[in-house]
Amino acid sequence: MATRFDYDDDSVVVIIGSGAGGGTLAHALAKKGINSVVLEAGKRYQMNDIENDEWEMFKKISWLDERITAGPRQLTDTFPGLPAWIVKAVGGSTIHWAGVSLRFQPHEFRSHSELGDIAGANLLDWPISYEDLEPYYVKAERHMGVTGDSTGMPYHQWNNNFKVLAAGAERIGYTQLRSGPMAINTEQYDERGRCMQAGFCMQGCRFGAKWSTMYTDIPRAEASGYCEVRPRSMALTIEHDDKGRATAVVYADGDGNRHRQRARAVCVAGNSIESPRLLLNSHSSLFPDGLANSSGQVGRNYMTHATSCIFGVMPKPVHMHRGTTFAGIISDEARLDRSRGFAGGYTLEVMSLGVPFFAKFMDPSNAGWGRDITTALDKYDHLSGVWICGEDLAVEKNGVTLHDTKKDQHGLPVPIVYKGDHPNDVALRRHGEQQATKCYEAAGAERVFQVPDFPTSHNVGTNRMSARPADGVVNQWGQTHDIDNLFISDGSQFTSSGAENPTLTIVALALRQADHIAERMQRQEI
Amino acid sequence: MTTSSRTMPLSRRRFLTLSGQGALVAGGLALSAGSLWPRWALADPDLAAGLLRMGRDIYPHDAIADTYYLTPLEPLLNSHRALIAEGLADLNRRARDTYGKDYGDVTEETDRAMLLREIEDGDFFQTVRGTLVVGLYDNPELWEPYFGYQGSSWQRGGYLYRGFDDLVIDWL
Ligand SMILES: Cc1cc2nc3c(=O)[nH]c(=O)nc-3n(C[C@H](O)[C@H](O)[C@H](O)COP(=O)(O)OP(=O)(O)OC[C@H]3O[C@@H](n4cnc5c(N)ncnc54)[C@H](O)[C@@H]3O)c2cc1C
Ligand code: SF4
Repeated sequence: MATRFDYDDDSVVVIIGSGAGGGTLAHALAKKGINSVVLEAGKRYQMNDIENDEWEMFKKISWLDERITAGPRQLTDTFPGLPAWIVKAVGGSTIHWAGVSLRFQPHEFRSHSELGDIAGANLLDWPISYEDLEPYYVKAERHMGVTGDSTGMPYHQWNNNFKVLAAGAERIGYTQLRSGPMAINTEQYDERGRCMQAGFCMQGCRFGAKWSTMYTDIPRAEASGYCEVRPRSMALTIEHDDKGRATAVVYADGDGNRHRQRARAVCVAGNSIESPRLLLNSHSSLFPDGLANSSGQVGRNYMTHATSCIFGVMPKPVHMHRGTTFAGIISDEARLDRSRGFAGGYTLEVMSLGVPFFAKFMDPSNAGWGRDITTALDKYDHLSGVWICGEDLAVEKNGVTLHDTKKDQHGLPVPIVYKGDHPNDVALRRHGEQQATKCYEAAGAERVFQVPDFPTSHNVGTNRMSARPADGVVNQWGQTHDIDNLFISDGSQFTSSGAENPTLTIVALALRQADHIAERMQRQEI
Repeated sequence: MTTSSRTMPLSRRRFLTLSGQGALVAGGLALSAGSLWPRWALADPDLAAGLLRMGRDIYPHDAIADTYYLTPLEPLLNSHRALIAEGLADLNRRARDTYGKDYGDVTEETDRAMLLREIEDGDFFQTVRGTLVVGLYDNPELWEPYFGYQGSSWQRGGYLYRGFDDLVIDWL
């Protein structure tokens, strides 16, 4: 195996990033016999590098290059240098994602038509519909091994944490309670074993039961002979010719040496901070505002979901750390129903943290110490937790810009990640917090408290899809409006955030894009 | 108590063992007396006592022994010595202004907490707190005995057959 392509080989597709978007795309292209080089900034890890240890894994695999958190939000104070929780490794954030795999709802592709103009928001319809994406949702579910109809794998047995939340939720009248769909095997599937309920999904799955490109798409793409993955290779700029076509990617290897990989097409999948940053850093005399940025929308409309965490102290030990980290989903509030005082909806997802992260995240503000904190920690084994995953609205000024003077280790301007709440986000979050609190009270909690946002795990929207070139960065295929052979292949394509976790949709879009790229190549159009 | 702690003034010695009961048995963990005090702490009893008192006020868990607070705070005396020394001196000044005695001699936890609230936005306080929030809670020795958290599980086959769904909700 170990295919190696020449730096001057301009027949390869260069893919930047090996996570949900990039890893899926590389594998899908390989299956079609299309050559690709994957540039991945992070290292390659083996299964036995995956430990059940929150801080060890955080230190080992997180993207810790300098970033600046900005905007009127608590995270600006509490995590000034860590706006987002993203992995830098072969496999990207699919190493530590939790596996919740929900489809978007049809109306969420039509944000602007459904919601109209909302002051302060920059709403837009996706150029594709749910129906366009539906076949790819099915493919993505089979590809990733998502429990439910597409694979026939049953949902998980309810764990203790979910039982507690569900008991309360049922008492307040909720009915849409499920322990899936999850991209976590409940039986042998895709040559991977079943979940052992070990916990620690957010540190990587030592058993390979949870889908991750780290041990599925990436090694399989490499084994096909059509793909070369270069770890520790940080893409610095994308180059173009005088006709404005992308020609090569300049990157730094692990020793800081620079290389130029020529390309037939370039697909950017560095997650929603690095992808726009790379386009902005690739400015040139032809494209002074950055590549593919004639709309001025590169780096804008950054969405993170309106989130919050609620924990309840229950009368008996729950042991929330046992079993899958995100073990259950409540969808009653995911609907669009403006009578609740906000547009969009949210999903309630049962979650757990270990003692180290719980202590750190419970109240990271300066005032988060003392008996209030430790009396909750003293009851750690009695805790049950839920995470609110709510649709946040696209707001133009939320986004990624480049710092004027600060540079990273490669000499590139450091990204400033700005995010503030739209009033709708505030209303939605408050509603979610109230409902989650009611659930725990109904379940008999002795104490209920809220845990503020931690560095964002869902990052989308900064190179959004649009029908018209003036409104966004890419078309319905993820192809940039401005440059034919430049694609965006990750969550930065999202036009709206939905009430659902993003990864299934990222994978569905990547599979759809692979089909499109293959067709266009066959027609010699790229 | 080790030899050198016996040479300390009586009040300080009392102070240093203020967690008392926790010193020898913490949540079922037996500790040898020698392990209670890291060596640096014996060499620097004033700073050590101040840091310990502060650590126990920031994250008070009555049943956790002093050593679990002191050990993670130890590196600060090398890495941030001036910050710690000046911070504690300032804290003592504030305590004397308000209560007429040093911070460590203020008997009520709520009174000491009031003093700490005044300085909680400062570098000194947040350095100590930031160090402890990892150093104290990322200590596997405390997880199961004290918090009921079982730590790494893959090597025992996870919880599939060990209680991931064993809860019976019988309190409703
Ligand atoms: C704790 C946690 C839990 C989560 N749980 C869920 C969940 O349950 N369900 C869900 O749907 N989503 C979940 N997510 C989100 C999910 O991980 C992401 O949505 C998804 O992985 C994003 O895919 P991506 O391709 O955009 O980026 P990533 O998967 O982050 O991959 C990007 C890759 O690009 C690399 N890269 C970036 N810039 C460059 C560059 N310039 N050159 C070379 N390489 C570069 C990075 O190193 C990284 O490996 C979770 C996230 C976190 C943090
Ligand atoms: S709970 Fe299951 S999916 Fe999660 S890490 Fe453990 S074995 Fe893997």
